Amino acid sequence: MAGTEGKRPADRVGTKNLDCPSCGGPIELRGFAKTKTLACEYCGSTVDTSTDAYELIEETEEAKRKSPIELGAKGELFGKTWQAIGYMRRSVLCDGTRYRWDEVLLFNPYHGNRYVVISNGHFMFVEPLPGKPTVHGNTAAYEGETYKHFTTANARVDYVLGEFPWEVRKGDRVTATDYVCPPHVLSEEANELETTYSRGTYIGRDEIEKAFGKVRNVGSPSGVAPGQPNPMKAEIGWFVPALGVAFALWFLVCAGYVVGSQSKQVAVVQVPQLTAADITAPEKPVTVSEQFVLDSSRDPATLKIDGHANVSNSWVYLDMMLIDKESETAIPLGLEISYYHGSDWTEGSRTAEVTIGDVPNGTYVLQIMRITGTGAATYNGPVQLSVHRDVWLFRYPCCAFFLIILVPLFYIGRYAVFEQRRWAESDHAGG
Amino acid sequence: MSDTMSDTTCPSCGAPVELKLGASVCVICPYCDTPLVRKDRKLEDIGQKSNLVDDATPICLGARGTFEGRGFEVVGRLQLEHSVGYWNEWYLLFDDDETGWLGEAAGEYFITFPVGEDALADVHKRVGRVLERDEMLEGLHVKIGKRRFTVTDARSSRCTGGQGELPFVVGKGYEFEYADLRRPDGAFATIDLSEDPPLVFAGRAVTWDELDMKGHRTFDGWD
Repeated sequence: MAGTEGKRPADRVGTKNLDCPSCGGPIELRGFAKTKTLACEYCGSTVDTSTDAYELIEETEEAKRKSPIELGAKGELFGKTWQAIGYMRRSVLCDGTRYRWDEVLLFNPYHGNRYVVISNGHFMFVEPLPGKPTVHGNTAAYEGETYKHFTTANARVDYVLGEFPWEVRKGDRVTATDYVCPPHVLSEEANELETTYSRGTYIGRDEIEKAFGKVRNVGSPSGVAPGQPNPMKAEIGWFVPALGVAFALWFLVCAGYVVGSQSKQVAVVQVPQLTAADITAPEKPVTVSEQFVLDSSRDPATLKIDGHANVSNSWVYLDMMLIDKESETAIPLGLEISYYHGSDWTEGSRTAEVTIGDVPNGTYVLQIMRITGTGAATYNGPVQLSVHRDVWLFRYPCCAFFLIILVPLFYIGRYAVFEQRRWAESDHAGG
Repeated sequence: MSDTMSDTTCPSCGAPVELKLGASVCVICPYCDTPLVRKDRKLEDIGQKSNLVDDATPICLGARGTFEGRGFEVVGRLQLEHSVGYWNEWYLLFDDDETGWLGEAAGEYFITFPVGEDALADVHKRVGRVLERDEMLEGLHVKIGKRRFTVTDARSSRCTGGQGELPFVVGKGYEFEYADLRRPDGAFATIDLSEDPPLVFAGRAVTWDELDMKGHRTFDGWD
């Protein structure tokens, strides 16, 4: 069916002009015939523009507050051009405190209306929703996102300036319910006539200023806005892979450390059974090992001494010195072996070990200086000692692991603190 | 469709009135705004003049657009007024001869098509029950076909006028009750409660960009 293209010229919609019925100021309606309420930018008086009678609704002397975004300013946001045509200041009363925020109405003759909502120095770009979210208790779902209930309050219009496509009066009230899923906030506003839904997206001040020029009378942001994205969440993109790399590195380094350790036995010492007199009054070293050579591939390396004693409901303590034959430097060492047991319990062990780090290669002897214990019957048979060079210690990989895990713990902590600050402003504070 | 593109004259002003749809019941004379009804291949004046209110709509008769790959032409208009403002129902003739509606208000657009009787059992049952008990329609859940909708608004509206061709007789001041239904996925439906049984139109929200309108109205300062 060949249409009538070309036959009917496309209509042109011209702007509408009027003089303010209060102050006589010349006004051009930016919202064309859609504007139903006008608050004169010169005198602040409100005019009913739904008919050509331009009836004065409320007369005031001067427009006290300017819109944060200059009315008439045009700019591009989210790929479309918008013109600021109206400004509204609204508030809610909560626990005796009045919380105020600003809303700037944006208009495009093809795409309708949007809003820039400015609260505590934070900005949101708000669009009306053509659909209806599904509300289940404290959650609302829309387009695959799940929102959590934030606040329900009675919102009041305190001040208007410029144009609105609906009848707006100071003192108008709606029940406003907000649900959040950062960077989005879903709002339901209900009055006797209708329930409307909108979705706000958190947006930076710089983007608003890039589009509409400098913003007036808005301080720097304070607190956390309901829709403000958690900055920690933005980090997750690099953070999780970085953590993966850190753990992979940790594993490789630890594996290298463990595999690279020679763990070679270099000496065995038998400490003979001592008498009670030996134990209580030692005058000279109990015994000295054969000299042994430390020639680890790592220098210095970790040295480990394993001890075994036939203790039974008793303990024994060996006071030792590791002496470098060349430099005659001595490293003091102690080893306690204690083992206690009953019919259904045990404590301690007949074996024990002591490790020392950073022992340089060289020729050494191990001198057992003193033995103390619970008494003559402390142990039965000799105390067996074996010396191992270049062993690996569990504590090094373990410490490194905890150092790495501290980073995500710090991250989770900061995430939680931010969320707590956000929800502190909600109806669910402290929950 | 033997009588498409028939030309007749307006009994009120004598101007030629061109009809594009064989199914048109009513046509509003583009010269004198008189709604005319078709009778025996002639047009009859039904008296009440259309009185459209300037609502700065970007759509006009003759404009063309697309919906899901199918082209359409805007052939008729119904302008309605309810408590919070005006909106338009534009009657669409698709290139494949199907007809549909483009609902439009304040930058929101909805394309809907009449829903067949077989998908309306639940609507008739539930809406009927609510009306019988004189309860609120808002919040009511109903199924249209297999899809569950929620009534978001139920109001009465008044027709202020029309343009072009329409599938029913319309006059200024014609009042009807309707309910709008929505789904979270943007699906939209409307129930015309002035008919018994109610008529149902279902479709979805669309954006201006998606409609890709040509030959629409333009605005001073917005080129």
